[in-house]
Amino acid sequence: MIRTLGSFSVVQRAWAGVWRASRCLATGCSSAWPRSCDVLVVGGGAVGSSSAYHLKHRAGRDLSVVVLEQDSTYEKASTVLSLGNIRQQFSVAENTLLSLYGASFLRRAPELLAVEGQDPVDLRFFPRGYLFLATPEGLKQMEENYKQQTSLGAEVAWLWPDQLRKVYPWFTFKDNVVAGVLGTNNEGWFDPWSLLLGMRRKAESLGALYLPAKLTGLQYRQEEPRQTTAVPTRSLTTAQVRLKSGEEREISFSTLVVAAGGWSGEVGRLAGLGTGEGVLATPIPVEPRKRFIYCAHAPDGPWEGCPVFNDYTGMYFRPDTTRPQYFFCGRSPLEEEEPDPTDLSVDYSFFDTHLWPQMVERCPEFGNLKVKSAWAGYYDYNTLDQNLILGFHPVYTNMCIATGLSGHGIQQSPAVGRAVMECVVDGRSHSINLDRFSFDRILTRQPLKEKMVM
Amino acid sequence: MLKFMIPLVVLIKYSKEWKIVQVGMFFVSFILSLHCYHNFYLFSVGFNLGMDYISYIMIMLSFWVVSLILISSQKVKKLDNFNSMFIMVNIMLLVFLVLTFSSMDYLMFYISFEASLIPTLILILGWGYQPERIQAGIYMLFYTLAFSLPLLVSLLVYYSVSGSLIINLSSSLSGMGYVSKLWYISTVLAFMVKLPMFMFHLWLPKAHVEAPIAGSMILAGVLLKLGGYGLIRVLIMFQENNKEFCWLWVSVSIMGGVYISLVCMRQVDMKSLIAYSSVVHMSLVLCGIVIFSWWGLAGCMILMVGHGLCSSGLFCLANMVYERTGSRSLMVNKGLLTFMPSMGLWWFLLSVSNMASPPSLNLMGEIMLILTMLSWSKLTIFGISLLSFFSASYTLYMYSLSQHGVFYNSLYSCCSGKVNEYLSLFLHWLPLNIMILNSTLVMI
Repeated sequence: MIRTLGSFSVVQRAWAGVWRASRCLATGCSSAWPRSCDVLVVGGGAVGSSSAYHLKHRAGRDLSVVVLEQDSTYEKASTVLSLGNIRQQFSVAENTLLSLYGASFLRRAPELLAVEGQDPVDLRFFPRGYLFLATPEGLKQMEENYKQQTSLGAEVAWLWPDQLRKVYPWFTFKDNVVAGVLGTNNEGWFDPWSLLLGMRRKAESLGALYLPAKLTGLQYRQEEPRQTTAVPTRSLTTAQVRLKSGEEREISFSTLVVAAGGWSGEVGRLAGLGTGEGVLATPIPVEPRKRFIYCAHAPDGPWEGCPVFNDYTGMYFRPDTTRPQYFFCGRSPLEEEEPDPTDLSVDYSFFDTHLWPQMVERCPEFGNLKVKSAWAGYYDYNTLDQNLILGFHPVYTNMCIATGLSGHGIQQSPAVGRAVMECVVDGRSHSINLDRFSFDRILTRQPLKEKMVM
Repeated sequence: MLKFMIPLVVLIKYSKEWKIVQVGMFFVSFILSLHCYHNFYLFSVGFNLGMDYISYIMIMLSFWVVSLILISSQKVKKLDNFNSMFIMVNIMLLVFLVLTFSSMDYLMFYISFEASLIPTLILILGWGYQPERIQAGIYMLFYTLAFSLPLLVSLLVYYSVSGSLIINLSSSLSGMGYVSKLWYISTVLAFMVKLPMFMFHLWLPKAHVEAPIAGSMILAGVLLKLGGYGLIRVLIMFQENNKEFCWLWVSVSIMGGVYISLVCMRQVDMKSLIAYSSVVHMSLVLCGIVIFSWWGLAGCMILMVGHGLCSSGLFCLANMVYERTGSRSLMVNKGLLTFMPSMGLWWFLLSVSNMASPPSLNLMGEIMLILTMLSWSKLTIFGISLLSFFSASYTLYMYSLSQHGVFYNSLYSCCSGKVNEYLSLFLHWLPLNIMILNSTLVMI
């Protein structure tokens, strides 16, 4: 009896399979489920789409790339909620190189991301520059950074206080500002939505498949070590994903790229990072941290020629070039004042207490400023050192992590995507040597901090 | 013949236990190999089934390849992916293949020839990996069916003309003008598609790549030989007409072989490369058959056996790499000698057999076929030289790109080869390189 029942369900399943296959055939094979792929990218934001684009650009049809993006409206993605600022003024040399490639990518984007028969990409790149100010205590560090940046090819200019006053007459610099560095080229802001959609569209036109699904599980296979002293490694084999309809499906892959932004820590937990022993006890130290951006109207504000202004207190503002006399401003809160990241609600009191006084101090014309709107977005915050984590995990040898960019992600996303492509195809990122950003520094707890972080 | 068919059917009952079926298959192959009476006459005749010198070789090959399939498909058992149904489908396929090769009647041959498509389709659709397998199955099915329906018509007309469809009683038809030419084309096209010849080869890369390892092995190992075997049987009827047309088949095959070898050099998917190389080998086989020479027929038999073992072995190797890295792309599978040095031995042995180096059966087959073609027309030397050269070059390309070079970083270590994988590859290679010492076993 049980045998016949069992065979009946087999027949039912076989019929369901045939039915589904015939539906697929009717609508074309492209809508059929990819049971396997070569590279599975988790996260379809800037880094994920850039990785997919660079992989497809390099390999074409020779590698099958599938991108898992759970929300195609990108409602909570860091990419589209960011301001799209780009700068080369970093103290870690690799960051400068990554942003330099980003700037050159932005300039060449209309030709690189062109898809036949569709409108060209318009990134609205305003290279107005970033202005960083230094106090007497930070002067030496600023000088070292400046020397390194210029040696790497960043176009930045050193401004003494009298020069600052001449170029920016509407800013008040008291005696505690002793120098400033201004980017003269390749720094400024652009439209992150256009960059994301441009890269996604180009990747899809080259053959990458974007799936609206959420990753719910990962399975691995234990590998035997080659020598008795080697660390036993694991290879990830299949991913369980859940579609919008609630249906659970599986994809098997050869390489996994973790580009999930603030949720990369959760993706790591699906693989057991953080809950195991030994090396597996260390999670991917990336979590979403909420940051506010306020949009304010200042009728007398310094709108003409204003760069992205960075105060040494961490406050920054820049003009909104789509509407006259509108400014975007924000500030990174201190560790104790971190807002609750469960939702994206905005705390307006933060502006009144932490931002407005500094803004008025810098420029008295901000006195009659009115906050018109605000939004919040997530940083994919690397709790160790707020810098990129790039490379393969030592135990899960086919998991390539590309996250942790903590606020300077959108500007480095093209370069990080290219680095991911080089890791997957060539084994290591060789255009820019990113060995210092590998996951090993997380395991040995050796932070690679920016000496001046915003 | 029944002494081989009945054990097969009985093995279906044991489809739940893999070990019994695996051992049973090898045992039946062993019994079959003891049955080696082939010396030009029919033997084992009964129930309208019988073996003669060509059938025996082919049946032996089928049994051997299916036994090796059951060893290589351990993953189906491990993942418990409908494994009893898998065994049933494979055994059914083997039953139909044995019926095809041992049938003494054209209609029986045709029915089993068509029937062997169904288990193959089930294998591709049921155990394949990618959504493209639906299209691959459709291509295979419709290519074969569309061209073999005229074959059915022509066989029935032959029955009405000559009164019997027994193969051994068939005799050459005298030329009757246009009708006989049409008759000839409609008969022969079915096998051209199955072989496949150059213009009708589109189904092969699709089906081989999308099939699971079992499907690829049986397709490359035996099903392509159905075309060759069928041609040998059918051309008895059309000797005069064939002599008028053989220039067409030889030219298309040789030039097609050259084009396909160039296409091979562009492939990045390992299975796709091996699939296209099957087309190249089969194009030589086709030439050997249609040029009615004794050495041509012998060479084509040897090359069919050699290619069956060699391509099937290469598909096994590609599958082993796929099971470890999860990808078939040569962009990702580089430097495998660093990880699986012992498997490098098998890659080497099977690759050099693929490019027809001594002492493999492929070498003997190719030498005989080259001599045949040259004896038929010296102009073929251009095509043959290009074909042989590029055949070596794409095989070296595949071997070097996958084995040599900097290793792929994310594959830190992997199992260097399980015993059953070594067994399967050894059993592929042993007949391939040893049988040349007694090649009359596979010659006619």
